[in-house]
Amino acid sequence: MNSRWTGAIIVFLKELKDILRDRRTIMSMVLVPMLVYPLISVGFGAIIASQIERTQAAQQTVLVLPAGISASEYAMLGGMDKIKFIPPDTVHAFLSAEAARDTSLNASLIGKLFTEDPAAIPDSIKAPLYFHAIKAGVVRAVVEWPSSLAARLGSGDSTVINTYADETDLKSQTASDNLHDWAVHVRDSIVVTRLAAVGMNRATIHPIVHKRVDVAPATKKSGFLLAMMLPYMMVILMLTGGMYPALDITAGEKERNTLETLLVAPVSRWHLAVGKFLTVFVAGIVTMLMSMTSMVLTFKFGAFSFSRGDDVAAMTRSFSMSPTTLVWVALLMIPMAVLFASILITIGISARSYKEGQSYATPMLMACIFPAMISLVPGIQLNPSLAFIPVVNMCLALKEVLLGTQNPAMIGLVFLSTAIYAAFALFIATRMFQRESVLFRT
Amino acid sequence: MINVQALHKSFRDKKRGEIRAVDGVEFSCKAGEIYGLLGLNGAGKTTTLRLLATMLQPDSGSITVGGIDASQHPEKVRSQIGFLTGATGLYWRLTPREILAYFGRLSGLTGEVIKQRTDDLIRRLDMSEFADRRVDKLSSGQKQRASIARTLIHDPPVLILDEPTIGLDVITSRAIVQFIADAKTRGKCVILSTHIMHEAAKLCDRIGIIHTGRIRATGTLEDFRHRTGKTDLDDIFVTFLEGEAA
Repeated sequence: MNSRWTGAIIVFLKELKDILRDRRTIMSMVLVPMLVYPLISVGFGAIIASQIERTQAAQQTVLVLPAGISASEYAMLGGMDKIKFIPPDTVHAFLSAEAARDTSLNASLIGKLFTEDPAAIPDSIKAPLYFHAIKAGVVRAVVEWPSSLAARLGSGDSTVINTYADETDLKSQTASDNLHDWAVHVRDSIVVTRLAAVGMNRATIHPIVHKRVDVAPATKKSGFLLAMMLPYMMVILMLTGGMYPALDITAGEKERNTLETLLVAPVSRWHLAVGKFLTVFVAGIVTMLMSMTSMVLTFKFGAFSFSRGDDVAAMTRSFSMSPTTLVWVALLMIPMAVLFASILITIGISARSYKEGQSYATPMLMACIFPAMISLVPGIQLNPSLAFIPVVNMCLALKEVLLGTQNPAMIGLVFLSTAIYAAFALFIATRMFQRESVLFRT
Repeated sequence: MINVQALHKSFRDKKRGEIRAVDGVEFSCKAGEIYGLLGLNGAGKTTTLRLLATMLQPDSGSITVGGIDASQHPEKVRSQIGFLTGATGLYWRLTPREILAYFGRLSGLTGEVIKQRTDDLIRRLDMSEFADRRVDKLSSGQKQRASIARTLIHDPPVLILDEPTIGLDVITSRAIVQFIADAKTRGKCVILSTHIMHEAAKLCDRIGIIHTGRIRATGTLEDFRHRTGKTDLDDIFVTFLEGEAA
């Protein structure tokens, strides 16, 4: 062994042994990165499955007012199988009971709503009542049937049908969508009837029909989704994976009064800094390898198979994870690991205690999470200026590598700029270990 | 063995401005001698000892340990020094044997020497029962013995002990006192700091009374009694601090 490195390697080997006995490090370095992908993908699958369930879902209950509309009018609405009518009496009884408890609901207004024409009451007054019933789930949407509907349509006139829904509620929104589909369907059929009466057909008013066809295979769309998410996950995991060991072997040494013993040992401060840096670097790399292993296994063997959608299963199997891609990803992450390890060591040794170190590291984590989110924004591509913004450049580069759309020159630029930042950060970190005011901060 | 000349060290403090922690300290200590730095908290004891141990760089002045200039060859000087304070910690997740191996390696010892010294220290300090148990599972007395062993693993000719008994219980501090006396018989040069006159009087061959960064008086306990005309240890100490006999 070259004697120039001996001290650093002794420190590195000891720190490695030390941190591997720390449960927190094992959690952040091995457990979290191994579990995060299966958990995310299962969660992802479950959400997609529930989405499918929702769209195929059973009928949404709809209240039609005024209370006394005729059977033939109901029949007009009956064409939609996704609408289920709820007797007005049920909603009336519910709101009256609520008004007895809740004085903010106007009881006399409720009576008026269910016995007279609701169209006469301003929206601002009745909207809270509808909202109350929708929030309670008694009904998903309300239709106000215009009293003059049949007469107006018969005379070739038009009319307005108001529907009320809570557009922030998924089920209410679905009911609203269904009602809209119904209204469009009824309108179209009336238009066709009216055109026929004057000897025209649909083509008269629709001379051109525009049809859009998406040629992207389902696999590409989904791969795109993963390529947006993965860089973000990898960058954040690498940072959190190095954080606990970094603070433990720097601020932790101060806190436990072991730093002095190390400073009196016949080893230079540079060796101490490099040994500790190497430990955190390796922790970051291990976290990355763990998360990549987990990622590959998750996508190969498809935790997604838990989900019901065929699209989703196809997406996981086809997502491009060739060995070449993985090598690219790993290579790109190396300067990033150096940068993170150096910054974490600098933060750690500047702190007086583990706790103080954590309070410095948290803003740093935040400062990385937000730029890392850029990979979640569709449409942003690497360019020469973005290639120099730390974290942002790495996330975009990883995304492009995962999508297979990378420009080698741009990736090289990202590698180079990150390497420069990393070298500078490492230099600062080693300098910190020479400063008395940092080492003996009390 | 140790020679300190015109040592100065200042710190900048946001509130108090520049503080002259060590302001012209001079002393020397031979092999087989125990030199005590006696002073109040904040007198400059810890800074002086940290300068000796090359943890801090002096602003001016010189330190030589065994003829080696500390500012020229700090690492060589450190290999001559065993350093211990009452607050010194150990790595919680390692065993005493692993800690000894770590510091042995940092001192450049070969595996064979480390093993031999470790076995020897474990026997001398009666550590066999807990040498392979993690530090976080040890009692405070056991930890202190492990700390002493750590201080001695590279067999340093110089021991620098900064308030080594502070915060320790009676039994543990007796073990430390025993260890210091033992070191003297083995011919070590020991520099010891304390704020307790009795401790200094009991252990030290010579005492330097330090106050506001300067050595106010140096001598044996007999010298001090003679110079102040007092017999009570605390009275002697206070007399020097007040500058009456300086």
